[in-house]
Amino acid sequence: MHIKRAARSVGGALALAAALIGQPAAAQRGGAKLECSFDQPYLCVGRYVEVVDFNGRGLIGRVYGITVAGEGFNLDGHFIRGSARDQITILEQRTGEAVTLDLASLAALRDMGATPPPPAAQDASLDLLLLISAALLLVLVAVLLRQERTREARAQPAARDEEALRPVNWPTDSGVHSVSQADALAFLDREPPLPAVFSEAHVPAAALCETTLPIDDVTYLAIGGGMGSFAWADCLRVSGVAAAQIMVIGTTAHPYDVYRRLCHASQVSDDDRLRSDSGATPDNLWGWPGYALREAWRELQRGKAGAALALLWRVFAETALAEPYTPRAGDVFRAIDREAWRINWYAMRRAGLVQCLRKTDDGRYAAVYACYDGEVWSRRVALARYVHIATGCAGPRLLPELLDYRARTGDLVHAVHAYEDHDHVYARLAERGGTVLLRGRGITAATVLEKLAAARAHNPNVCVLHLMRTPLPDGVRVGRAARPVLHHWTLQPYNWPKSSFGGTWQARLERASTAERRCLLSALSGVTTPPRRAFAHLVTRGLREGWYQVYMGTLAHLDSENGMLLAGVRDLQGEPAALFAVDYLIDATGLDTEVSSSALLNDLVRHYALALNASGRLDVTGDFELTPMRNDGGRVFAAGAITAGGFYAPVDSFFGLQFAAQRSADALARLGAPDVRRLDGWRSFSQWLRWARGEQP
Amino acid sequence: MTMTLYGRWQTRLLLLWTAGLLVTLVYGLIYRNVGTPLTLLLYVTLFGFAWDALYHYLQGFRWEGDWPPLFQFVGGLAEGLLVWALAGSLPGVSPALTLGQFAAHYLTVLLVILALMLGPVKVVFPRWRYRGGQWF
Repeated sequence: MHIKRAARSVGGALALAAALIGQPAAAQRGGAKLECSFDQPYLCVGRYVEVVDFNGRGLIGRVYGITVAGEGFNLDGHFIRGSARDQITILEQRTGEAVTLDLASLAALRDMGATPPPPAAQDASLDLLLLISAALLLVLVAVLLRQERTREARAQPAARDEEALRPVNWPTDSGVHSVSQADALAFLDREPPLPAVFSEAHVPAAALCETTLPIDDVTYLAIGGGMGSFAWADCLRVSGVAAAQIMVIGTTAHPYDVYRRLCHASQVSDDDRLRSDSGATPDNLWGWPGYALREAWRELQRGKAGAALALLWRVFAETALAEPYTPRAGDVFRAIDREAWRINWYAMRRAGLVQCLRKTDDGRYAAVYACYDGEVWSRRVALARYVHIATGCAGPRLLPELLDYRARTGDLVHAVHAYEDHDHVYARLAERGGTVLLRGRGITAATVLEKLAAARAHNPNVCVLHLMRTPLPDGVRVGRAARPVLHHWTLQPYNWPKSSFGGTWQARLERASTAERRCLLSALSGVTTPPRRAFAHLVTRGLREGWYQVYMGTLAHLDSENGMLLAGVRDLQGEPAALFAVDYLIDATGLDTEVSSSALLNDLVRHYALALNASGRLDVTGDFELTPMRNDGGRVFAAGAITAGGFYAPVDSFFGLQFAAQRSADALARLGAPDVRRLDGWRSFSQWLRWARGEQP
Repeated sequence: MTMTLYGRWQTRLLLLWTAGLLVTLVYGLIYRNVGTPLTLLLYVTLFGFAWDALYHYLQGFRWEGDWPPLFQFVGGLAEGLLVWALAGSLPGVSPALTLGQFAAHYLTVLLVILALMLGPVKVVFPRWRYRGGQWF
């Protein structure tokens, strides 16, 4: 069935598909030519795709830089719902070409309920749920909320009026661009050395004006454009700070870009579920409603009461009688998009990379950064009194054997890291079969194993040899509790035990001395994967059938011969034990969060002699402050993976980033930082209502 | 839910004597006897401190250190059964109180508090979830 189209966008094309789904009889008549026009009710950002083509011939292409706000589609144009994703291909074509919709695709779309509703309608229904849920408190709040608004209006008339005038329609991130870190570094290399004043401990503010560097004067500066900075900026905005007072310097266009890229590389697509709690909501400072409630509500709207109840049961009974609920990646990213719009994220963000951070002699900080305005690079200085650093990970952690092999052979095809793009491995395995050597036993290794099992479904000649450094017959025991283990895989719903996010473990870790904390962190940490029935069944079946085998040892060296990898392995005593010939090596050994891997952090640690914690990361206080960086009234905070090993274990999680943001915002409120008010009680509730209504803080 | 022991006690005390109190007063008006529901609320609070210590001990066997809402609900039912079993011998409780009256009042309080703990409390007290249920 071919349909000539007049749809001007992907949104239009999808609306066309949706319209056809609603008219199956007309679709089945076939051969119909429909002339339709659409007024783009959906958001399209990034690389603009004019026409899409759905068919059922299997996966051909992947990345399209399109987005349709609403259910069913995500920023890459992947379907985010249902298992029919791989049955549907989205192809990029040119304007004027035909949209081909076969019946199988239409049926799949219909089954997935992929009709994308307008965002406004979805938000309104969500609001209704939220408001109904809060009915017990609404009556009391109404009067107080009015008083609160009156007080706010009196306190900040200028800032509020200015923000009210800003356009709030979708798309808000048009024209926002990401930059390559390599490009930024190359630009900085080409630039002349920094003026001599930057080699001093305190840069004279007057001397800054004498340099040729343009100066941006703000109150709050977030270094890093990812989730950590987003959580901090969100908390500040909700606490009363205007967007104009905050600057965020980062390389990515959206706060989740790096996270999402790592997800995709490690085989977690937008319709897969993340390893995250329902209440870990980076788009919502309060954690309620969680993603489970939102998803249940959407299911209910579709008339799927059973599915909605099943989701609610999971959050009600997890982790004892039900597998923990985890949100779909696409849902989280869409929610962050909404919040980014709400807090005016794109007005705060600058595309660039910070080169160094210095104290100034007037109690502020000067951040020298490479700035890209969409056309040219320039070097600028951002001056701020309060700084937050959340630069995250530097990239995949490549172990020495892999680095050595790559340096010798230049082979990036057969020996890959799970956080690198390695789709070719699964494609070739499905086509020709082969043996894979897998390292690591965390969630990423588990996902890789599942993907390999999927490839094996296409080709039974796929085998997996899992190299583990040590056997784990039993889980670690702390006090009365023990961590479960299955076939040497350590099972745990999240990266850390649930109560280390905010409960008994967290309280104990915060109270502990440095030495005791080190022992506790050592016991609680470790590479784990969530306890899922499907995964347990997969491992058990693989071991029973023999296509999945575990070998205890360490990789000693890696060579290439006749298109095969030769992996020399040492046993547990460190003696050479085996030489495996395999087709591929997949390293699922985590990410590089070393301070030494970041030029900015390296410079900061050296220049101000910052102490590192026992894990070699930045040592922060309970407020996530870097105390050696205090500068009169100025403060520097840090969050995320670069602070791992401190009193709060899950710093590198959605929940942990929000926790850190809350702690530092509280510290700023105590300090009397401009416009930061402690968020509590009625003020908190009124801000939550603004969130529910999609209004600016 | 990942409560500390202090978090359990504080949460119990504050929710029972805010939302729980409102519900109790409503039932008191319906039953034309405010004293008995209020007395029962007091007993639930007092016994609850001991129950919480038990829950906290049992929670120590769980690696995650969490206490699923389901456990909270089942524990709440057990607490109610104990109070009803002792109701006849507790001072301040009217002998005319029927099982139906007690169940209606108690279950309403239990469900309202559980619903608040699962959501709205976080909205009014955003740090509550970071501190194992502690306000102070």
